[in-house]
Amino acid sequence: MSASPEVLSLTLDRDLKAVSSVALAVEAYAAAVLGKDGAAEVELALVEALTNAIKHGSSRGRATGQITVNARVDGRALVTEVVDTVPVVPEGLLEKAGTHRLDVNIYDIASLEEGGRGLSIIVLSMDEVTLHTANDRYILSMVKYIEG
Amino acid sequence: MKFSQERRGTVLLLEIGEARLEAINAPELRELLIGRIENGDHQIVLDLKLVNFMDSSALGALIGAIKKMGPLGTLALAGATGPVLQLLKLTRMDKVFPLYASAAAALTKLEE
Repeated sequence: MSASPEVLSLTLDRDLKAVSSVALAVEAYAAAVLGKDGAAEVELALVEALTNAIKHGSSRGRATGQITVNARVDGRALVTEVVDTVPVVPEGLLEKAGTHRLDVNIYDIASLEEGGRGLSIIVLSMDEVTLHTANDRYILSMVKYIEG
Repeated sequence: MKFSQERRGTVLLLEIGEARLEAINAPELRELLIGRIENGDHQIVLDLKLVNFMDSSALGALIGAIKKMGPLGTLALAGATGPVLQLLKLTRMDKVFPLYASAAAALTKLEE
C-alpha cells in the first residue's frame, strides 16, 4: 500500500449522478491505507450517506448548495466526512441503527421492507459514526480503523 | 440498464451488464425484474458477475422483485462476489435469495 495524500476534499452537486465518481475517488484514497476490503466498506458507507443526503435533503426542500466530502488519515484511522447544510442522516436515527435493523423473517418475505437499511449499513461498515454540527453545517463523520 | 437475457426452458437468465447498481439505476433494475415477472417469467436467474458494487437502493429493487414473485416461483442470484456478496450477507439477503456461485450452477439447480 502506498502513502495517501494528507487530505482529499471533493464537492458534488445534489444529484445522484454525481455520487459514484466521488465514491470511487474516496475508495481509491482509502485503499492506500485500508486495503481493498476496508476501502470497499468505506465506499459503501459513503454511497449510502450521500444518497440519503441527496434524496431526503432534496425531498424536504431545505437543502441548498453542494455537498462536501473530506477524507483524511488521522492517526490510525481513516476519517471520511460528509458536510451538508441539512442533516446528512435524520437526527436521532443513527443510535437506532445496527444489526437488529437488518433482521429478516425468511418465512414472511412479504413483510420485508424495500428500504430503510442505509443507516444500519453505514454503522455496520464503519468503526465509529457521529453526526455533529460546526459552522452552520451538519457533518457526518465516519471512521474506519487502520489495522496492522 | 445494460443487460442480456437468455431463455433455458422455463428459466429466464438475466445478466446485468452494469458495473454498479445503486440509487441512480435501481428503479430501472426494479422495472426490469417486475416487468419480467408480470410477463409470466417465474423462474429467473439474475447473473451479477459483472457487478462490482451494489448499494441498499439496488437491494430494495431486488426485494421488491422477490416480493412480487412471492410463491409464484424463484428469483435466484448468481455470480455475486466481493462487495456485492458482502452486502448480501451483511443485510441477511443470503437467507432470502437463493445464491449460486455462477449462472451455470443456478441453471442446473432450477432446471432439475
